[in-house]
Amino acid sequence: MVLSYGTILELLTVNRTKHFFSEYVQIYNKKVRLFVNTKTDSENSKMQESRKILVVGEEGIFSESLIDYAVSVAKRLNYDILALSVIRNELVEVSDKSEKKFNKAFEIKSASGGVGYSYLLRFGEAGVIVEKIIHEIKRIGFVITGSDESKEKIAAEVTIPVFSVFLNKNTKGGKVMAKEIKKKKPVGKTLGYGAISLAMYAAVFINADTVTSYFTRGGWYSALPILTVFAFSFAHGAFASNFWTLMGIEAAHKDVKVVTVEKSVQDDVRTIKVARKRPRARAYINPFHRI
Amino acid sequence: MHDIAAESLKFIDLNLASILFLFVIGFIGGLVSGFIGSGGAFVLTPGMMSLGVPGTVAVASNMCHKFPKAMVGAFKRFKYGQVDLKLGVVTAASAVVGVQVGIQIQHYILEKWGEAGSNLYVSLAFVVILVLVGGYVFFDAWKIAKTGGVERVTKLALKLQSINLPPMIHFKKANLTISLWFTIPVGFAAGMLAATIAVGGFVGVPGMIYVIGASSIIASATELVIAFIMGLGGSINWAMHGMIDIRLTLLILAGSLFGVQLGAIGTTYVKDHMIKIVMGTIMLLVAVSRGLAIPKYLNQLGLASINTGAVGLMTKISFGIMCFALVVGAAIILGSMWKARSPRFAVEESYGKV
Repeated sequence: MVLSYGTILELLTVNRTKHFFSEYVQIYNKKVRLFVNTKTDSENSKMQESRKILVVGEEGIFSESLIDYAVSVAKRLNYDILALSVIRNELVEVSDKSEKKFNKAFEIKSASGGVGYSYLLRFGEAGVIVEKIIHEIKRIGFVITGSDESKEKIAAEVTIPVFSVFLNKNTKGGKVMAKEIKKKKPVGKTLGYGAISLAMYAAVFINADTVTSYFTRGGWYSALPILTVFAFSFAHGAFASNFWTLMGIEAAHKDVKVVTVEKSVQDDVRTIKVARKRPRARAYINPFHRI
Repeated sequence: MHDIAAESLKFIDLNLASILFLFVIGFIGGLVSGFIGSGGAFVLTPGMMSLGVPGTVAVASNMCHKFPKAMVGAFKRFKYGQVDLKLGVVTAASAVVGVQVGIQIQHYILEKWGEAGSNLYVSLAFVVILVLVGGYVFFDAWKIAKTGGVERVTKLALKLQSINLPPMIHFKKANLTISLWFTIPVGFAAGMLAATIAVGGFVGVPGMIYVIGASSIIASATELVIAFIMGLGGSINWAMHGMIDIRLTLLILAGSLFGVQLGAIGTTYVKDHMIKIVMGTIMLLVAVSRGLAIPKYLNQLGLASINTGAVGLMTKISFGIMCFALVVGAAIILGSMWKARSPRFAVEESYGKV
């Protein structure tokens, strides 16, 4: 932790002379807290081991498309994500909330994609910071940024590849994301299917005696209970499905990782290696041979 | 037709308590079967019988609720890309044959040793199969959890997949190619077990995982397809005899359709081996429960004389443990879903922490 504080101070000195306003001093503490709130040692060492994509968000903004792209690439390549918020001027108030929101959204997406995720907040020029981080943290494969400008800035400083994910200039990333997060809740559908389901239950249970007498006659009447349960499972099933969506309980990720092939390929490679072992010359004495 | 009419008179009156009981037990049963592909039925039948429903009506009504529940669950999990339809249909086809053979065996035992003998056979089959298979599933899950949560295809499955015995079938979703001849025993065993203890999935799912080589997510989702096909067939059969009490079926269905969807959603949150943990736990607990029911049947057959008080107590404990098994399964599912909601946890998981 002592080290981290040292680094912060060092970072803070990078670019603080230009705009200095005393009223922003209280924000300084907030920033320090945010920055210190990083990973534990074991997590850090794990982070060091794995291969990573460095995702840079200038002024703490990660657009939806940037997040999605980074997660999908990381997932495909089996990389982890290291998100880096670079804030040029540490004394300009970046709303705490929006930054946390981006961080959270990114974290959730990475988690749902099964991608490891860490977050850093640094102050200063994007290019300088990225260059520094690449030296500090090992095994960063490449850098993804949210705009062409920051791509050029970073690419000028570092030797590893830098890519940018294009954004629609008219919409700010934050707005796009806020819209995406607030999905429409199926209130109408839930109520509609709920009403249908309730009506069907009422219909059966009010006329319970008539229904049971017909439904238990056997023969062709046996189609009645079967068709009834089908009808109920459609109406009531749709109601239950919408109900869970309304309660905010939805599937996390819809793809299944297929591991079968990977495993068998691995095994194959191993067996081939064993088979390739070169035969060694050995001296052999036949014990039955009479000299 | 008169005997059927007489049977229908045996349909019980429903009060609020029994309605709630059926709803809740339906929900929990649905949750478990949405998650592990089967289960729930073993509590529902004795549960209904404890309300005073005659055995055959309980079995029939239970089966009639099972297939629409399985259909909804299968549809939901199909949307998540977890169902291998072809594997389901192929296995179900051999399971149908297994059911017929299972029924014949049941008839034979019933004729020879009477109802107590048949019950004893069912309980013994329960205990032996569940202890063996459930124990292995649980051991496997524990091993996977210890080594960081990576499922491996068993050597047996890899060996069987490598044997080229035509006709070879490729299962796209399960991502494997195996000879038809190796899927048949799995389906057949599942069918026979379904006819014997009413829960074919306890052999079907482990069979698909360990013998055929599908992942537990795919296997449990595909089991729902098998349950649908077999349940539909069985329900039509029971409906012909007029044994289905549609009120009971619909009440259980009311709860289980909520449960099955929640269970299906749950599979997308957790790691694959959670399915094995839940399944192994439930199977072992149910085995204990059925084991406690054995002394009663031994008494009835005159093979042992244990005093009636103890037997009565054991029967009660047996039912209690069965309910407990289901509740434990549901608790594990909901607990792991709750934990997985926190992204920090999921990140740690993805780093291989357990």
